[in-house]
This record gives sequence, C-alpha cells and structure tokens, in this order.
Amino acid sequence: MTASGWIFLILAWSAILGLFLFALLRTLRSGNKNMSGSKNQLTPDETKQPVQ
Amino acid sequence: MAVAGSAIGLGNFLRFPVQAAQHDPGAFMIPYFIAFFLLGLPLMWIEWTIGRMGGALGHSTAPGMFDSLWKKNRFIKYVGTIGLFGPIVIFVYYIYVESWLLAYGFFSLSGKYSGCTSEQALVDFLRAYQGLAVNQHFSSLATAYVFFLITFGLNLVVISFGIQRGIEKTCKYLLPVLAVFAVILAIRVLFLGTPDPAKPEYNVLNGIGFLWNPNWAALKDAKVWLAAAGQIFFTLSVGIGVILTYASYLTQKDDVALSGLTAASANEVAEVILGGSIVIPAAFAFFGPTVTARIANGGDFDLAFVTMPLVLKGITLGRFFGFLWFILLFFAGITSSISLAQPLVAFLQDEFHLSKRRAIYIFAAGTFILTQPCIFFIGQGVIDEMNFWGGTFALVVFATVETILFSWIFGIHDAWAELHLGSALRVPRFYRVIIKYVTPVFLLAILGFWLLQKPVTMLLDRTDLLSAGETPVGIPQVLRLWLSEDIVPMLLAKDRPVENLPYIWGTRIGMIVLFAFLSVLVFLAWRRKGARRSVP
Repeated sequence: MTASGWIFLILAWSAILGLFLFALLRTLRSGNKNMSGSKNQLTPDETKQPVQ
Repeated sequence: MAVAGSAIGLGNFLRFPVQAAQHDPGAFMIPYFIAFFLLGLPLMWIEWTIGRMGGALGHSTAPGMFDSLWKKNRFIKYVGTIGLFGPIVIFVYYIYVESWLLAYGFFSLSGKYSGCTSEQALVDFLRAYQGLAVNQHFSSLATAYVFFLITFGLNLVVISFGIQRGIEKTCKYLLPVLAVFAVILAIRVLFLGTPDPAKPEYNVLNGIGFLWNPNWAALKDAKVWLAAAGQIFFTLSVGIGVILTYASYLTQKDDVALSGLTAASANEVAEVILGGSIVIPAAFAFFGPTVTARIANGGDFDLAFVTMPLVLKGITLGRFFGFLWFILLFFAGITSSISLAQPLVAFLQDEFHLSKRRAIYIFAAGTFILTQPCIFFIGQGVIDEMNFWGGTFALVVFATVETILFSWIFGIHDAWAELHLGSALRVPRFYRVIIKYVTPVFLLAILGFWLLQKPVTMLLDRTDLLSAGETPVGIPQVLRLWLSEDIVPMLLAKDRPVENLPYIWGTRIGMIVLFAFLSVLVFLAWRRKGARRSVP
C-alpha cells in the first residue's frame, strides 16, 4: 500500500460517506415522502429495489 | 433503512470485485469514481425525473417515455426498446448466478466444499458445479439445474402471487443484516494478515493497496473506462430502464432529487467501502495478484465464490455464517431480479392491455428459454458475451440517448425545473452544466474511444507503424490497420478460442433477434394506439 494509495482511499471513503450521511440526514430531517409515503403510490409489484 | 438495505446486492459483492480485478484495480477505481460523479449521479436524477414525467403521461417504460420526450421523431421509441432489452438480457444470466448463491448457501451448511482448502480446489469445485468439469464433487450439471429451477420458481412465485410485500418487508430486515454481516466480514478480512507465511507479500494490506494504489499508466486503456462506467450503470441500475419504470409510479410531490442521491450514495457505501474491503483484499491475501486476476478472468461472477469460502472457513461457526452470507445475498439477488422483470411486464400490461398474470407468464416463458444457453454453454463464454453487450454496452448506449433526450431535446431548463418539483434538495447548479455537456460528452467519448482506441494510439505513436526504411504513415494506413487488426477482429471475436465461436455468434444472433422481436412489439403497440386514435 503506497502513500498515494492511502490518500486515494481516504479521499474516496470520505467523499462517499460524506455524501451518504448528508443524504441520510436530509432524508430524515425532511421526513422525505419518497422514502415512506410514496411507496403507497407504487403498484403492489414494486419493491423499489435497484438492481445490484 | 429501506433504501440503505436495497443498495446492497450482487453487483456490490460479486460483480464489482471481478470488474476491478479484471482491469487492474488501481486503474479501475479512478474512472470508477469519475463515472460515479459525472455519469452515475446525473443519470440517477435523469432517470427518476424522466420516469416520473413518463408516468404522468401514462407510460411506464422507455419506448413510451422517449416517444413523449421527442414527439417529432417517429423512431426514437425503437431506441427506447433498449430499455426493455437490457433488463431481459441481464435477467437471463443474473437469475442463474443468483441460483449459485442458493446452492453455495446449502453447500456451506452441509460442508460440501469444506474439503476444498486451496484456490485450485475451490476453482475445481465451482467448475464442476457449473458443468465445466467432472470430479469428485459433481459429475453433471444436475445439481446446478435443480438450484436454477428452485430459484426461477421462487422468482415466479414472488412476482406472480403477490407475496412481494412480504418479501419487501423481509428484505427490509434481511438486507440491513447483510450490511452488518458485511461489516463483520470486512473486519475479519482485515485480520487475515498473511495467510501463507511462505509468501509474505500476499497480505491484506497489499490487497487493499492492490485496489487503491493508483495506476495512472493503465488509464490509457478505453476498456477500463467502459468497464468502470458499465459497473456504475449496473450497480446503480441506471441505463437499464428499471428506474424509469419504478419512478413512473411517483407523483410530483415525491422528491426525486434526494431519493436519487440517497439511493446512489448508499449503494456506493455498500460497494466501495464494504464490497471493496472484502473480496479483493481477501483474494489477494490468499492468492496474490496474478491468480486473483486469473480467477476474475475465468468468469464475470466467479471470484467471490472461490474466495469467500476460504474467508469464512477461518471463523467460528464458519459453516453457519457461510450459509447466512450466501442466503442473504440470494435474497438481495431476488429483489433485483424482480426489478428486472418489471419493464417488460409493465410494457405488456400498458401497451397490450394484458393482465398482470398473463404478462408474467410470457416473461417467464421467454426468459426460461433464454436462460438455457447460459446454463449449458457457460464454458463457451455465453454469459460473458451477454454481460458485455447486454450488461455493459447497451447500458452505455441507452444512457447516452436518454441524457441527450433529457438535456437537449426536452431542454435543460425544463428538465431542471422538473427535477426539482417537490424536491427538498437543491442539486448544485454546476450539475446543470454537467448534465447538459459533460455527461453526454463523457458517454460519447467512452463509446468513441472504445471503438477508436487503436487508431488514436497509432496516430499518437506512429513509430509503431514504422518498419525499417519506410516513411511515417498517415491516417488512411492507420484506419486500414484499425479495421484489419482491431475492430474487425473484435467484432469477429477472433480473440476467442475457435471452438467457442459458434456459441459466441449464437449468443450475438440471439440478442439481435431478441432486440428485433421487442422492436416489433413496440411497432405493434404503436399501431394499435394509432388505430384506437383513428376510431371516431
């Protein structure tokens, strides 16, 4: 593991975690309708699971 | 929690490590992140917005949505056919790989592979299971086929009989458990140290370095960029058409900007932080870089099946945890295969007014037949061929078209307003520029460089073309060489074993026929619409 590897890893992890925490906090704070309420508008088939 | 749970699946733990290992991980991660920020995030927003708009106009699949976005173009709906074609092609091989997870869960519990203590032994086990070899573990494909039938049946049950609400609730709890378990496994991998003291350089720290040490030199290879973009599309489900269908059920009150960001970032946590900390470092520590790359090149989903049994072997209650790991991934896979079924089922329901059950039967019958070559000719490269053309190339083409439609044909001003309808999140304004200019140019550049890499390289380094005593060559010679040594051999699959060529061509022709068939369905659907409109 080189120094540039560590830098790359730390930058990448920070960016991803920062983005995720930001989105999660905004979702929780706004009581985002899409995360809960909108599921009621989906057809019974929908699971809203993206393909992984 | 539901979104975070839904972000974890096969792409994170099976496909991502293989794609990275196949393309020099240190080189792969750089275009991967660039693709995430310049392609993945914009495309998430584009697809959620187009989907919601399409839904409001009564369309739940790409042909109708594209047709609505560009009313003046009669042919754009046929380009939207890729949004039906991609999910089917991916479903066809995905469901077979999904069945391996179910099988490995049971093998783990029964201890069937517990005698395999080396990379070669586990490769042999997997090859025999896939029907590529006969050994003490398996003498035929029968076991794999039985697990495929169970998996296919389970998928049908979930899709057909309305128990998906139950599955959804189950996944809501199972997938977070998978995330927690992935954290435990990542910690376990960190403590693997140096499994073979005779090879001290094969250790976890170097394994992490294998993934993260930047290799700038390898960035010149356009295939790395295409693979990184393909992985971003696959893992975020963009460029497939699935998100379009889901988003078509949303209303203007739903926040597509924040939902897209949350889903994308949660997926990246699962993929890069968890997925990237398990299979690649473990594979490196056990096998070293060369063998890891060789296993990855052996099959697009093989690496985790060879590596994880060794990782799990060393922990207390390893058999049980192995079972848990593979079964949880299996459930994650089921949620994904359900989503892949949605576009065609929705298309048949919307455009041909079929009942849901009948649409599912047609989908099931078609995909069952199409999966057979994946099972019986896996050794001839059928799955890899489908994964490239259906799971990578088609996605990039589809994404290019929808980005241009969204930002240029529909217009970035209206598109931006549509994205923010009902949104609590303001997307940074520079993403307007990215969506309008950078994303389409990036996509076109990937396609262009993939096609033209060799002539560009030749022109940049003309000495390659100089033979003794000859003068430097020009563009015509370069193009001729490109045709004769690059693009034509690639299209003719000349880099494949000769004995596999009939299967490669069979797969390609099959995909062309499938695309043509879907295009005919789109044609018939629009003719019916036209006929209905003309009735007074």
